[in-house]
Amino acid sequence: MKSYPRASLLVWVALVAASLWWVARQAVFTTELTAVLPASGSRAQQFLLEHLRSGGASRTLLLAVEGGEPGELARASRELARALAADSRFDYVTNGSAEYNRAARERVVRYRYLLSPGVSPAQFSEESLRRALRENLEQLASISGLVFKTMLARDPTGELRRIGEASIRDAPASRNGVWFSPDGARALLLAQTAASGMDAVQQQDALDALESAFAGIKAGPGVRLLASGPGAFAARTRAAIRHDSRWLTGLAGALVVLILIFVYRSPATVALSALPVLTGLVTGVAAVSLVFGSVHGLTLAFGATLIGEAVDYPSYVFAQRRQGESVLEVLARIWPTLRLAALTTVFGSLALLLSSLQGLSQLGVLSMVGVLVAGLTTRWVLPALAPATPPPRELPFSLVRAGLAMRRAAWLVWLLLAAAIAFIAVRHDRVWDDDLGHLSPLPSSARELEGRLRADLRAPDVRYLITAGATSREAALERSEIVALALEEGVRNGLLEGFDLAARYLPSEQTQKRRQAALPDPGTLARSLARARQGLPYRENAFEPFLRDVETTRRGPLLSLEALRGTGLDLKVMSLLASRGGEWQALIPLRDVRDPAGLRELVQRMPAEAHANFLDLKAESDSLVGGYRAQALRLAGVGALAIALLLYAGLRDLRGAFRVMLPVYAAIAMTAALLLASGAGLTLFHLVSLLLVLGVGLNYALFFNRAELGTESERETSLALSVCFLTTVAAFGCLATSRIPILSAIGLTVSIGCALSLLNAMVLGRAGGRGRSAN
Amino acid sequence: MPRIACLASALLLAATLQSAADEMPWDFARLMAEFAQVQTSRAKYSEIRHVAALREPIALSGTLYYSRPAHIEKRQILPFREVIQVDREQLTVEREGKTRTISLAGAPQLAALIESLRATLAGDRAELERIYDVRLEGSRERWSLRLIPRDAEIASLIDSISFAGSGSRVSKVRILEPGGDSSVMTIQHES
Repeated sequence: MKSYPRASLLVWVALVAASLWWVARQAVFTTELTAVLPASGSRAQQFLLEHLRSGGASRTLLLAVEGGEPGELARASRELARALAADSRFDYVTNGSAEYNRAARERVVRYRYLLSPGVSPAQFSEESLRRALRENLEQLASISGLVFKTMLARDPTGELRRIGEASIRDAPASRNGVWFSPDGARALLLAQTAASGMDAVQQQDALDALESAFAGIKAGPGVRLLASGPGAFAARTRAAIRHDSRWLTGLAGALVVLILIFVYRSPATVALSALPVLTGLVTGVAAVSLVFGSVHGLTLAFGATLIGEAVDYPSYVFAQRRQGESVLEVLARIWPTLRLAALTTVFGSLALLLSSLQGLSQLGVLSMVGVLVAGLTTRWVLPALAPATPPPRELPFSLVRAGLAMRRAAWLVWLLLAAAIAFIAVRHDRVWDDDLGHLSPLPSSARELEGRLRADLRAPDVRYLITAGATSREAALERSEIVALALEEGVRNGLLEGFDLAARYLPSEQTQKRRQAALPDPGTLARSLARARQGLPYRENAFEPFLRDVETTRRGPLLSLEALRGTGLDLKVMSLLASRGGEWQALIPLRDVRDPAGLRELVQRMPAEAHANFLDLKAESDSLVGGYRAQALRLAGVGALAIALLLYAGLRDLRGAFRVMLPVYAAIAMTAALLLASGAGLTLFHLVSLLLVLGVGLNYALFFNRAELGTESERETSLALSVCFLTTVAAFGCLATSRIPILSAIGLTVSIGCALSLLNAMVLGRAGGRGRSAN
Repeated sequence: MPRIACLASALLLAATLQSAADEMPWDFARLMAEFAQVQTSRAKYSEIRHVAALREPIALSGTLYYSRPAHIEKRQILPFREVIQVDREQLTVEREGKTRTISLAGAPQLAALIESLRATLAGDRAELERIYDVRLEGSRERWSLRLIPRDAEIASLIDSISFAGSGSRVSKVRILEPGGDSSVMTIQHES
């Protein structure tokens, strides 16, 4: 076997340098979850993505201040709100206090005759006016007359009260002028971040800003700030995963290094072992960035897992060195097998490239390029760099011999395999768990807090949503009004507690014009009012302001979005409308849905021109994940076929190919059955871990395949496989101890899968044929 | 002999103390203390309300019932039947068979108005002085208490509230509003 040490080193250095430069300068890393989800899909799914990315609900943080007297908490709430309003990371913040409502209230008063659902021609008839005036007399006599009086002259028909009815129903309890939980223990605030709720990094940024703002207001001792919401969950999940994975990776790395030093007895060799996988990772990331323009954090995480098998390549080389042998000579012996091992993974990843999901195709590129480069590095660069060192330690046992001894119990393995397959077949409809919520590392107390705050703040449901679609903003508003009318019936029947819509704050032009037309001209109104006043003790000119206001509205402009600027209502309206391309959707968030099935039926019965849609966001996102996972599974199947063909071509022996594949697939089936038996379903992360097990297990079987009993290859193979197995289990075993379900899922699956692969290879493999000479 | 002497000195002492009590300076603290002794009281009231929008004032009448420390009932008979009950934080209005409940924590202006009466009747000096600036005039037999709200939002609705009375009985309540409106309630005690 030839080696061109100088040339290989030059090429390698150039490749690594180029990749590093590209990654450092040009590569864009994104952390937004929705970037890995499909670009096509059903309309509901597309809309869901848009809503998840930029929708108001995903950007809303629910805040509470507790641990003090109501007065103290109210003060803290006011100061915190002021501090956050000045921070550009928050679009708006509100705590129910008048200072945030003042501009909005002024606008509502001014446009009340266009906003009130009570405005109709009959509202200003003589009978209706008389009834209103009589009621007002009673109000004046009553205890609340003091407060009621202020708007009497301007709004005798009570339009403001009618407008306020819906928002009072939706508003949280109030104390000391700010929002409070009903028991007065927590002051409440709502803040909307500028960043998307799916962007964990930016959400963490916002949370940090929140903490420092709270520290800045110097509330009393014992006063705490609580924050919850989708963005907070995303940020905390990411932080928990990072924290655990950092220190566990450190621990795993240390263990692996210890094992390798013990076996190789040479630190230089251990250091060199890291080279192929690191080279593979760097070039893989650069390749993904080149092809796709950006690299997603999830790709990086999954890809690093898959490339993990490349950590074994140097072990196969170094552990099989004989006394006085150079690395090149070892390679000469094992290169065909090692090449086949690397190629099986490359072929397996080829299938992922074909995926329509960017997340999966990125993974395919990373894995392919990474493993290929790692293999090439092992072949060309290691011989150039490897020093002359003593051969590795000898093991006191032989895996091959142990395997032979266990051969008698092969029937047990077959039995377990059959049981595993039967178990999976019985549960075939409950195998996959696409609900990523089950993998949340956050404790149940976090979810409880969310539920409590959401109820206290009367915030909308995150799961159910109704939309009305149209081709323009006005049409969307009009259609949402039709939906609202029907939804009122739902509220009366107890299907849900309440809902919100943009048209409540900005009615469609059609509705506004209708109300404007219902306002009588000044002469008619004055006459009706005069007749209605007869017999009642009102002064003659008591309602001049009312007449003036009606006339101003009758002749004046309609309420527009521009007129709402600066009041906070414009932001509210915009957060309740979504547009994509030329399509508009009016969002109708729901509060406290008590009967989802009944509500769905209600929406189906709505008039067709409303184009109303009932969305179960959780079901939609579960199906998105399910689609991703199903496609990954299908492509893995295609990849398995490609691997089978490759093995047949590489080993030139059908039975040999079968013998190599059987232990791995058996191990995968058994691992899956074990995981399912422990109660949970298999998630996307389990699937990726099993793909790694496939890669690693095939390598075990391939090398086991070439070991001959009674020869040097027996000892070498035994050592190599032991080292590979120990390092893999050490690394992923650490991961398995994590409290974070995602990390422990990956760690457990890989550890068990590799152990079973090795055992199966030992028991079911071909090694130890009688009388065969060393090849 | 010694027994009679003791009795005589005791009587003398009591008489001295009594006259001393009558002569001690009477002030806001003592007025509040006297109110604090009252467990319950019941009275008839008649109220005249002047409202700018109306040609003539509204006349109301009914009965008032107070029970220590925070229960007030106002049963209006004229011009229409209405029962208002206040218990700590809850205000209940019952009219024509329909009942409405308001939480006073969320209605600071209404709460201040009701508190002015309740705190006075209960002799709750601290609470009264927290919400209002208090001025007392007159003597124990004829006193008048003027309350001016401290908070700007409440002051936007109420200029001042004046109580007039004798001993631990309120006989008149006058509420003056910024716009010129006013309400005067005359109270006749039954017990």
